[in-house]
Amino acid sequence: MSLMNAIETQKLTKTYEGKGGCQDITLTVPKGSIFGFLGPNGAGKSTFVKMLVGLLHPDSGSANILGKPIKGEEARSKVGFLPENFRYHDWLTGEELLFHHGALFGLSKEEITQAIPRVLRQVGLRDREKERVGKYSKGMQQRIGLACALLPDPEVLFLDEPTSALDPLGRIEVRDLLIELREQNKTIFLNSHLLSELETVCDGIAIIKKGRLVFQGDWRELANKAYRVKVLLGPLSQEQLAEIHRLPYEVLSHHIRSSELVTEGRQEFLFSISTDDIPNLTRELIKANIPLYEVTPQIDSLEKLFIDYVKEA
Amino acid sequence: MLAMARLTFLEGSRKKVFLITLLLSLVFLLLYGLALEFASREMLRLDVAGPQQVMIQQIIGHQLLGSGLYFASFILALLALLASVGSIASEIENGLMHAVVSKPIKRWEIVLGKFLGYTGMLIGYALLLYVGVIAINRLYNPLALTLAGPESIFYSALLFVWQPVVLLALALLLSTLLRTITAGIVAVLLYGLGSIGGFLEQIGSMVARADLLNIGIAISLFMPNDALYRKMLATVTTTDGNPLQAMTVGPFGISMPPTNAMVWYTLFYVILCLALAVYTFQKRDL
Repeated sequence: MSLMNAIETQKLTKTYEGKGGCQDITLTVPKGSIFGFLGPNGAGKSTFVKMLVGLLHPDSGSANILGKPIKGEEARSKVGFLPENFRYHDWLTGEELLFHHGALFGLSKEEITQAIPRVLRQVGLRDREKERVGKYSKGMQQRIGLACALLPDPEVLFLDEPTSALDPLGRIEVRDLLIELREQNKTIFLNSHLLSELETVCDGIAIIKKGRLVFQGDWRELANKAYRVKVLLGPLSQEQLAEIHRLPYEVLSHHIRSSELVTEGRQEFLFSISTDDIPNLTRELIKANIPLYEVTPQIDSLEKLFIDYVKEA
Repeated sequence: MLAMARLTFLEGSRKKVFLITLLLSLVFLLLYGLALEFASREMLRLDVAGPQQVMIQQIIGHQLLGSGLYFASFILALLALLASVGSIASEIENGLMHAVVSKPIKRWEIVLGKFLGYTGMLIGYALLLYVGVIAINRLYNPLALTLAGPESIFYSALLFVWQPVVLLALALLLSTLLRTITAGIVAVLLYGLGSIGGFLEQIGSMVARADLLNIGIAISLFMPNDALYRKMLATVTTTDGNPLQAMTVGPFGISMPPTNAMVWYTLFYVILCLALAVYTFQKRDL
C-alpha cells in the first residue's frame, strides 16, 4: 500500500450467485484527487462502492482505504459516504440528524457542535438546520446527506450520484465544493452519470463494463489517443479536392461550411490523424497549393470517449 | 452503540404506533377502571349476603385482576412486536441503513443499540401500564391483592416489563432475517402460538394429561411469552399451584405456575435471539 494512494483494491470481487456484481477489480486512486467511476447501468459500480464502505462483503480480493483493510470499521473512520438512494431520518431536524451522524462517526459533542456550521456552509444549508428533514425538498435532502458525509472532515469521500436531485445552480455549488475539498488534499471517489460534470473536475477515471474494469487512468490521455483535426480550406477546384482525398489521412467528413463568418465556397474537412502528423498534413496542403484557413485539433468529450469505450470494450 | 440506542428510543417514542398505543392504553385503563368500579359495587352487595360469599368475591376479584394484566400484556406485546419488527428490515429496504452501516461502527453495535433503545421505551411504557392496572385494583378490587406483599408486586412488575423485552429480542431477530411485512406476520403468529402453548400447558396440568402438558411446555420453550405472563400473574396473586386456583382466575389463570427456571430460560432465550440477530446482520449484504 503506497502512502500516496487513498484507495487500493486487489482483484476485488463480488457476484450475486455467480452473476452480476463486479469481478477482479484492481484499482488505485491517488490521494488528493477527484476520481470518476463510470459504467453503464448494471455494470457493477454500486456493488464496488458498497464493498468499499462496508455494506457488501467481498467474495474475494482485498482493498485498503488510507492503508487500512476495508474489513475493519477503522477504515471508515475518515470516510464520508453519500449513498445513491439517500434516505435519512425524516422526523429529525437537520441539526439533530447531523448530531446523530456525528455521534455515529464517534465525534464528541464539542466536535459535532464545531463541525455543524462548517458542513452547513459547505452544502449551502445555513439557517435551515432547525427544519425537519421530512420537510426538505429532495435537493435539500441530498445536501444534508452530503453534510452528514462531511462531518468528520473525511480524508476520502464516496459520492454516489451526488447531484442527481440538484438544480443546475446546486450542481455548480457541489462542483465548486469538490474542487475546494481537493485543494485541501481530500480524495473524492465520484460515481456519476453526468459525464459533462466529471470531465470538468475529475483527475482520473475508471470505466467498468459488465463487472470488469476496462479502463483506468487520466481521461485526457484517453482523449488524446484518438486525435481528430478540423481543417478549413477552399475554395477548391476538382483537382485540389481529388488531391486532398489522395492524402494518407482518413477524411472522416467533408462539407461546405454554411457559417456567415466564412466566405462561401470554403470547405470543412475532418481528418483522423495522430498528433505527430498534424505538421505533415499542413505541409502537404500548402505544397498542393490549397488555401488553408484554419487547423483545429478536436478533443473528444468524456461522454463520447465513454460511449466509444464501453461499446468497443 | 449508545448513539443508536438514543436515536431508537427517540424514534420509538415518536412513532405513531407508540402514540396510538399510548392513547388506546389510556382508554383501556379508563374502561377497566369503570368495569372494576361497577364490580366493586356488586362486591359490596355480596358483603351484605354474609361471610360465606368471600370465596366468590375472591374468584371474581382474581378474574378481574387476571383479565386486566392479560390485556395489558397483550397491548404491550403488540407494541413490542409492531414497533420493532421492521426496525432493521425496513431500514435496509428503504436505504436508511446504508448511511448508518457505512459509519465506523460495528454491526453488533447497531443491533444492540436498537435493542437497548426499544427496551428503554418498552420498560417505561410497561411500568406505566402495570402501575395503572395495579392501582385500579388496589382501589376497586383490593381483595385480589390481599396476599400480594411489596415483594410480590415488585417481582411481578419485573416479570411484566420483561415480557416485551423477550418479544423485542425475537422481533429484532426476525427483522434481520425477513422483510418487514413477513417479519411482522411471523412475529404475530408466533405470539399466538405461544398463547396456545400456554393454554395447552394449563389444560394439560388441570386434566393431568402429560402429553398435552409436554406439547405446551415445548411450545413455551419455543415461544415463552405466555409462560412469562402466567409466572407474573402467579407472583402477583401468590398462586400456590393448586388446580383449584385455576378456577379463581378464569381463562387467564394458572393451574401450574411456570418455575423460576423458566424465567432464567427466557434470559437465555433473549441472549440467543440477540446473538442470532447479530450473526445474521453481520453476514448480511446490504
